[in-house]
Parts: sequence; structure tokens; C-alpha cells
Amino acid sequence: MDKILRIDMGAAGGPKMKMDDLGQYAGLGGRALTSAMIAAEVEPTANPLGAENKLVIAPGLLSGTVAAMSGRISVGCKSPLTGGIKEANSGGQAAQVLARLGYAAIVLEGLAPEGKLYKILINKDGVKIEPADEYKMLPNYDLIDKIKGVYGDKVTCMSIGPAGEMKLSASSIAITDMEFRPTRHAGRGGVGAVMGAKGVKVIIMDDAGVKNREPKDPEKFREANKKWVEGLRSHAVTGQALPAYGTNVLVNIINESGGFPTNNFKSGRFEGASAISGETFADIETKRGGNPTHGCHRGCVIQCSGTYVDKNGKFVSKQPEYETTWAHGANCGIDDPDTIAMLDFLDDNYGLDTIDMGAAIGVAMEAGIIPFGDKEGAINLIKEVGKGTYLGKIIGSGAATAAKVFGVERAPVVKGQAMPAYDPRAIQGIGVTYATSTMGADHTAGYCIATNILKCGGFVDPLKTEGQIELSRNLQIATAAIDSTGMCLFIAFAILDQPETFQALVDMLNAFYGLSLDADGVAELGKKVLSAERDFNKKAGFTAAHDRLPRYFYTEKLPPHDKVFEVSDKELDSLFNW
Amino acid sequence: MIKHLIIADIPEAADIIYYQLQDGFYVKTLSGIGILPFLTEYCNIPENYISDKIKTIFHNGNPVDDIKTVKLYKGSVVAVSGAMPGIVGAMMRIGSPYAPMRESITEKGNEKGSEGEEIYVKLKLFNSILKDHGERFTVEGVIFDKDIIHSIISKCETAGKKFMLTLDNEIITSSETEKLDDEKYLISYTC
Repeated sequence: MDKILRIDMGAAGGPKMKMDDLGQYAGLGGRALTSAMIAAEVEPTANPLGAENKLVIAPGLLSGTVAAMSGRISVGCKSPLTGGIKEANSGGQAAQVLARLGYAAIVLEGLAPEGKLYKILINKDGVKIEPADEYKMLPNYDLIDKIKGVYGDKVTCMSIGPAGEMKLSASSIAITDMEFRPTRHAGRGGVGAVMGAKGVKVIIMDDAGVKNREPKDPEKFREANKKWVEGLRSHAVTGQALPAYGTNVLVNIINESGGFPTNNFKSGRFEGASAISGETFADIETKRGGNPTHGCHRGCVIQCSGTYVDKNGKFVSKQPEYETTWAHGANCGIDDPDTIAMLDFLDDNYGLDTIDMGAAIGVAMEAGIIPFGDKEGAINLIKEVGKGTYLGKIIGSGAATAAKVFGVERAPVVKGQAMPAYDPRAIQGIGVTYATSTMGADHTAGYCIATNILKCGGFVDPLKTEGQIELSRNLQIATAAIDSTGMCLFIAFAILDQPETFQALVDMLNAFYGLSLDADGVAELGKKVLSAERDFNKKAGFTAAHDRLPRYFYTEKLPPHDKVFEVSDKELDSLFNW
Repeated sequence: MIKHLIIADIPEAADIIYYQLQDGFYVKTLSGIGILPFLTEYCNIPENYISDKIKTIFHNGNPVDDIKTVKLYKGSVVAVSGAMPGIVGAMMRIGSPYAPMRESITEKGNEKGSEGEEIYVKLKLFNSILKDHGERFTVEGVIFDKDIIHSIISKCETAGKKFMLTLDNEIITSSETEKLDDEKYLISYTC
């Protein structure tokens, strides 16, 4: 991982590539690298779909090694959805393959001539850029089928569907999984639209003939990885709950907490929750011959994904994640697993963020376009996006746009990005993160790392009633650091409870790069990432007014707890004081 | 005395009742009892299992940090879960370091009421707790509201097989269950 591939898609005479060394970006990976490059190289006021924006694709620091769980890839740009800096993060095979091929990043620059579409082929022998007009407007599954016919199923792809080609601001970038299906997505913020603006339909990566990256100290690395895997397998969440039920195991308890947004955030409880719970999905998958325990990339030991099949045992989609199940389920009043799985498939096929799609359909339901609970209506709305009708383009542009067009005040968005599956009126601390995250409303921005292990922001007394600002700050710092390693965020649960597992992660980084990083160093990395992102957003025109939840969260009580969001503006504005 | 409905000759009934436990069933106990003794003495869940495996408990939708002090009264709903993923999953855990982030809904244990009276507490079993203890409850028989009984019978009919129903040892038809007039029934199955 010692080179950066830059491709100017708008160069005279067709795309031109060059290979850079790491230079000022040496030692960075994942989100740290994408955010550093966007902050340094993109004009903050640039049009996100214009020539000045860049799309940066970067594997994590430990991707391409034998380190377990190191298969996350970061995609960065200025977001067409939020207008701020964006890092969208995904599993799938791409991080491992790209890292093994030696690339710290791929940077797509410039603007392809209107109507031109390309494919980029990367293997051990180099890079080729070829016209891809034959792939125009193909949905992701159809595209991958065609690619399989030409390149086989051992390659890995990052692609956009029709939504990305239409430059819709809720479009995603699909990444193929171990079965060569386009099931994993860098979903948030409209990164697919930026790839579409660059005129790139698909990046095809082939790591045949290359080996895993070798650590500087192989013995120490091997030992740390062993402890790392033991820690993940022995923990109740990473070793039991996630493998058995996936992230959707959260449905029942978030519903019980009264923070499960239902019918476009009108209530915190959904009557049909148990029908769409992780327990129920796992049961259906097992009985129908699917698989409730499956990894999204090689080297995953948590195996939180799964395979959802229909009544005849035919593949429908990957096991929908918690956020997807909520967005297309409770938020739309739908309690049917088959419908949710179909919506998940359609989102993946057209290349759409499932969270923003579920939120946009919820808004459309509130506007009376279709009623809450209308399964067929929801499916048809996503199909409209695939067809590129005017209605589809409105939905495919996300909940914020849909609310404006449909005249709905209640748009559950921050900085233009839809909120995930936790209502901040019931769970106030998550509202702090939604409001202040550099990414717009984002549940992964404040993930759980033991704050007292990372020592970022000082010790927080868990018995104090105040402290959610400090906790959110620490969590955002820690998440930014983990996003830079290429590690799956679900490792956080084992780290939270097992200091020796956290130490194993730090030991792996040190053994691989010959560093002597400690917990403080990890926290500093997180702060540096956040500072760069915050600074970019400020220059792009963001002010304290953007660090707020929509007004109705302060005025409309959420049943069953009948709470409103109570964290003061002053407290929110203090979050980034460090 | 709660009437006992038995479903026979339909193996699917076991799963139907099992997954219904996510929505809650009733356990008879005494008002004023703490959550811990309720789980150990009335639900027969060993104390070491509770400390090792049950990482999240809700009382009336509020996450509980101290299971020894929170008491149960008429209308109480208790939900139990294993360790949960996600930042919010971590927040909801018993004694979570992230408890301040959900402080506004945390169970304070301030509720008072008459003690020692016979009451029914609704218990919900989630994820690994359902897996470890659900079958035992279904074999012993569980108490549901009559609308849930209707739903279970309806799901058995949807399974498309003939089955037999008895109410306190008297054979009844599915349609007769629609006329059940008690609030709660004990239901079990036999093959």
C-alpha cells in the first residue's frame, strides 16, 4: 500500500492516470486518508457533482493483511446530499483486494464528458481504463452478471447502479461480497452520484497472483492477531448475538426502549416489531434454507450477515441490516420480512442508501402519496427510482428533498442526511451525535469504544446525569480512529468490555508498521480526522445552526415516553471544544 | 383460576408460541417484588445466568441499572436481553458507562404501590435469553391475553394442518376460541 492511483476522468483525449507516492499522506488509511485528501485537495465550496470534487477510495491501515475484520473500505468526497465532507464505509471484498494490490487509495478527479461511461480494471500488471457504454443504466446485479461472463467470479467490483448514473443524492457505491454479489454498499451521503459524475460505472479489481501484505514484525503481528480473534470470539456480542441474529437483533430492545422510530418518527414503538426482529429473520432464514450466519468479506470472524431466501429457497437479498429493517419496516409501518428483504434487494440493485430510502418513503407516506403500511406501494416507489421517473428521482434524492417537494415539515434529517433507527427524543445521547456529526445524522459516528481505555476527553463518571456531550465527543473521536484502521466497527463491542482485546488491536498496528502507538496516539488520530472534517465543513459554509435537530424534535412529544429533545444549543456547541 | 388451553397434533404450534414470547407473556407473582427475585423465584432463571448472560433489562420500557432495587407492581412489563450491539445497544446495558446518554428514560425505581398482592407481570424474552429459556416456558405452558390466543390459533390455522384444541380438558373448535371471554389463558401444546 505504497501508491496512490489518480485518474483524471476529464482529461483531454480521455481519462489519464498517474501513480503518486504517499507523500504527505504516509501513515494514513481509511477515513483518515479520505478526509485528509478531501480537506487538502477539494475546494470546500465546490459543486459536489462538478470537476473540482474528488472521489477517494481507501482501504484501512490493516486491510490486505491476515488481521481478522480488516475488510472495511472508506469512500470520501464532498457530499451531494449534505454539502459537507463525507466518508461512507463498507464491507465486502474491495478493501482486502485493493490493499493487496498495493494501493493506499484510488482518486477519481475531474469530470467525464456528458454521456461517457468507463470501467477501470486493476490487477497485478497495472491499470486499464476502457469505455463501458454497454453497461449504461444497468442495475448492479445485472452488471455483475455481465462482468462475471467476461472476467469470472474471482474478481471484486465497486459499481454504481442507475441511481448513481442519474446522480441522485441518495445513491450508493456497491461492493461485491464473497459470493460476488453486489450486497455491500458505501451507502451514505450520495457517494454513488459523485462516482456517476466522474463517469465511472465500475472498478474491477483482480488480486490473482498477489499475496497478503507482510508485517514488519511477523511474529508479534501473528501473536496479536491470535489474541484479537480470541477476544472477538469470546465476547457475548461479537461471538454470540451478532453471529446468531445479525445487527437486526436490536429491533426488540430498541422498540422496548421506546426509541424505535415508527411511521416517520411519529411514535417510538412499532406494534409489528417482533414480526421483523432479528430472532424472526434468523428463524425464517433457517427454515427456508437460507443462512443467518455469514461474513461479508474474507477474514470476518463475527459473521453478522446472512442470506435471505424466499419460500422456495431462492436468493432474495443478503440478510437486511437493522437499519434497513427499521427504515423499510417500522418507519413505513411495514411488518413483513419478505417485503423488507425485497426492498433491500431493490436498493442494492439500483444503488441506493437504504436508510435515506426508508426515510424518504416514510415522508412520502406522510404526504399521502401512499399510506403507511403499503407494502406494494413501497416496492413500487423504489422501482420508480430505478426507472428514473420524476417521482423516482425525488425519492432517490433522499428524505430531505422528498419532504421539500411533498410539502412535509417532518423530515427526519440533519445536514440533509436521514436519521438512522434511533429516535433522539427517547435516546437523547444519540441526538447529540446526530446533531454534531461532521457527516450529518449518522449512528456510526459515535460508536462504542471504552472512553476510559482511549482516555480521549478525560474520564466520564458514568453515574453523573450530565455527560452525554463528553460521551458523544469521545465516541466520535474513537470512531474516526477505528474508521482509519479498516476494522469493522462491530469490533467495538469486544473492545468496550475487554481491554486486552483493544491492546491486541494496537499491538497489531504497531507490529505491522513498526510503530509504538499507544491509546493516546489512537485518540490523537481520531481528533485529527475530526478536526480536518470540521474545518472543511466550516469553509463549506456550515455554522452552529447546522448542528441542530429539526425543530419538531424539540416540540413534538414522542410516545410512549412523551419526551422531546432537551439538550441545549449551548451544550451542542461545546462538543468540539478540545 | 386461569383456564388451560391445549393445542394438540400440530408441531408448528411450538414455534408459534415460542416466537410469541418476544411480545410478552404473563408470570404470576406478588406486587412489590424486586426484578432479581422475580426472575429467580418466579421465572426459575438461575442467579448466575442472570449475572453472566442477561445484560439488558427494561422495566416498563425504561432501561434498568439496578435490578435489586427496582420493584414490580400491577401492570409491570419486564423485558430481558443478552448483550446488544451498536452504540445504543451498549447504552441500554445494565450499568452501562454510556447510561448518561439515555438518562431521561432510565428506570429510577421510584414507583410505589401496595405489596404482597397477587399480580401478573408481563415478561418479554429476547435473543439469547429466548433461545436459552423460551422452550422451557412453552413446554410448561404460558399465559397470554386472549387476543394473543386468537392470534396463535389463527397462525396454527394458517399452517394448514388439522389440530385439536381442548379447554380445561373439553374439546373445542377453533371458532369457539373467538368467544373466549376471560382476559387471560394458559396455553400449551402437545404432539
